[in-house]
Amino acid sequence: MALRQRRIGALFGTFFLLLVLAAVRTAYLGSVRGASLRQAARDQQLTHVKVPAIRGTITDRDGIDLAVSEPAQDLSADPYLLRTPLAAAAQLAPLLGQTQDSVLRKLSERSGFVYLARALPERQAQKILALKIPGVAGTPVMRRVYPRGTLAAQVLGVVGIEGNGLAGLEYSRDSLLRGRSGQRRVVSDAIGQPVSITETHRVIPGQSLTLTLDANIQQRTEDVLGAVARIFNPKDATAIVMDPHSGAILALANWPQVNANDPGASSSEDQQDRAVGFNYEPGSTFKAFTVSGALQGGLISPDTPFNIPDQIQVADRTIHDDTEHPEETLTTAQILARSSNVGAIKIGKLEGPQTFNSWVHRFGFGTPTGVELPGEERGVTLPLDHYSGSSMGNLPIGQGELVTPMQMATAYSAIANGGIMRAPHVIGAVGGHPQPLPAGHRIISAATAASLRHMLEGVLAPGGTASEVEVPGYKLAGKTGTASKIDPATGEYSKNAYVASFIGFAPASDPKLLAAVVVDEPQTGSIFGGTVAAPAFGQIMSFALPYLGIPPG
Amino acid sequence: MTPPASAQRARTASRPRRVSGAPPRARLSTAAPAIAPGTRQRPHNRPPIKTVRAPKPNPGLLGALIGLPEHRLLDRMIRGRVWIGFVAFALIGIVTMQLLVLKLNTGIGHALVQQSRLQRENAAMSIENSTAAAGENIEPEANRKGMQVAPVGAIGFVTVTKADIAHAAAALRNAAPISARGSETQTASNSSEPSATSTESTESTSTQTAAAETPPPSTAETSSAGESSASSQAPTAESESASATPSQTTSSAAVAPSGESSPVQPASASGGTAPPSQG
Repeated sequence: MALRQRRIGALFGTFFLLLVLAAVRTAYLGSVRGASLRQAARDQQLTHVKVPAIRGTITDRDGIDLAVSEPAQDLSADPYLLRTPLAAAAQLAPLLGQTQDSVLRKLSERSGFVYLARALPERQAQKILALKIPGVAGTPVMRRVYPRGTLAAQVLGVVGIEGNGLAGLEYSRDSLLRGRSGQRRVVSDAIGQPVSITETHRVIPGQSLTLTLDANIQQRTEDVLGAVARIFNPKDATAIVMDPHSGAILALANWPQVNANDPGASSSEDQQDRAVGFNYEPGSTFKAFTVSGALQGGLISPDTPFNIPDQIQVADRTIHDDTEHPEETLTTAQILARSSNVGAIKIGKLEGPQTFNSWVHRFGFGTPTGVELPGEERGVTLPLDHYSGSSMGNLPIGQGELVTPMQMATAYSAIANGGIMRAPHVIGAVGGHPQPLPAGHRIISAATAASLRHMLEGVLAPGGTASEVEVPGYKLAGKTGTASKIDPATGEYSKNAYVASFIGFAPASDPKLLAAVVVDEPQTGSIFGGTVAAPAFGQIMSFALPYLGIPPG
Repeated sequence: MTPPASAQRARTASRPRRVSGAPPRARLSTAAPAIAPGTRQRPHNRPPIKTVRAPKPNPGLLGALIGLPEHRLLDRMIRGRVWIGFVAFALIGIVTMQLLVLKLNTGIGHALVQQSRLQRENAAMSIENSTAAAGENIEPEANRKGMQVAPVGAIGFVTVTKADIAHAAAALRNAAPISARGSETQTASNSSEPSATSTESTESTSTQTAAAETPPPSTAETSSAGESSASSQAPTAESESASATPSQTTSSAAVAPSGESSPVQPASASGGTAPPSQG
């Protein structure tokens, strides 16, 4: 009995001693080494993973993807953890698509962190990470891809390496497109398997943008501009195709082209969207507005005759027509068709500076059109109190004021749609929700617009400045423009730098489609709007009209 | 430790033995004074009896909770062996739940990996789709299949009326199978000197496909093709309507669902009533 008692006592003592030892050890680990162990455990088990938000897709009006985001990884290395940088460089170089030297240079840096590649496609990154090279890690990011490469590159813009929009719609609608990155708290077990995943910040994906652009018309327009560039070798060129009734832009092309997937290969000038960022003197294309004001004011009619000499003196300036001709009588319609400078000046003088100036502003010149594209210029118009004696000698013929191609297309839309001025737009829907049509306001009567349309048909008729342009089955209307550029060296109009342009619409009686082509400084072949820009207009229309199912008229 | 018998006895002797229950009725009756029958009198020497009421049991859930520790069933359970099984079951349940949570979290991890993979694949397919839809890819493919770009002048437009819709619907009902129509189109396109019917069928196909997907190559091409197509349109409205097959009408109707006018091949959709308005 006593033996049993003693054994029980010994066992109890042993257990008590063990318990005391455990308590002491626990206290030691929990207090003395507590902080470092907690840190080690956190490092080993707990990770906060950034979950990048998927940037919204940009599509054309038919849902064809123009800009898509795909998962990617930023690959980095800690050179201090690499034991054999040379071997690592040899393994990494072919997978990174870089030379072994450049990879080795990065891996030999005296730094704890170096980027090996940014926004590497996920598949490629996974191949590299599968090598399990110590110190090489990946950070998930999103990568922007433009499947059509050069298509509408200046409109879409570019996204920076950090995922923020830098140009174009990517920039102006960045807040909609980018969304908000999230964060996950991941606790892993000893073998790295996640045992607890908590979403600490929810990911908010970016909203998609549906543009009014039509990829096929856009492609065709870009092809046509490319062909113009090959023939006339201009400094640059731009073209806009739009629905004059809604102001929806169906195509907006720029030349030179830019590869949106490799914007670094192009200059910043080439990346500019000239449709909204190019200020130029419109030349004869402006005459339609000079005539429009006088028509609306009842000062003239399409048949009003004017005595047109070869030249006209306005204050200290003598303005000539393009070609020498004897004094002749031309109607308003003929003045437009033949693009007579003298005739337009005479009509402008009939209006007087004040009325003319009010019409300039009524057609939206001097203010941005309000299209969603960033970097839109407002143009330059002469304030009324700055008019000189010779101002009415050059303003009515489109000299002495600067406009953008977008302003011109928008103003011509008002003529095409029956007199309603409406802001153009390139975004059709955001996140699947259609955007409301911009409000329009009437600037000229429907009758005046119809008269102008009829007169502008004459430009493409025999004897007009663009008589060689035709689209079988369709009546076209429009206006050519050939404007001298100011030579920055002399401050005078240049003798060899011109802007050739054409703005027109079809079918002439009830326009459904409008196109503007502006070619800056054509170098070879010709410099005239009728021979450089008008044929391009014809080619764009010959594709777009049947493509859109617009019946002839 | 039983106390000694003597001490027990002494304790019993000194203290009156506690007896439970009420005192004998006889003793009470002897101590009480005589009371006339029919009267009730309070005894003078006796302190008033305080009646202690038993605590009223709380009704409802609260009462049940208060009474739970004294519940017979619980008492029996914790004194018995059932609780061992119960605790064992609870422990096993807790461990199982923990394991399930771990498994679930691992599953979430896998799902996230899967999500990432699907996102990647989706993006890749979007890119592929967009690239494949480019005109430069479609045009050679269309050419390979014997299609060609419809010249601008070759496309005719007719005004569609309600009667035409009914006519087209009737034609659709009687339409030939698609395979038969396809073979007819193919034959027509291969024919060197097509009849009015086959020419129309070919034009219809090329108009719908090529005009929608590919641009005409150049102005020069357009004008030359326009001339050739003008000659192919030589048959009169009567001959075209006479040779109109159900398949032709179907293809025309397919591009003229509604609206004032639509691009269709001349006369077939309108049953030969409206000549082409295009010049």
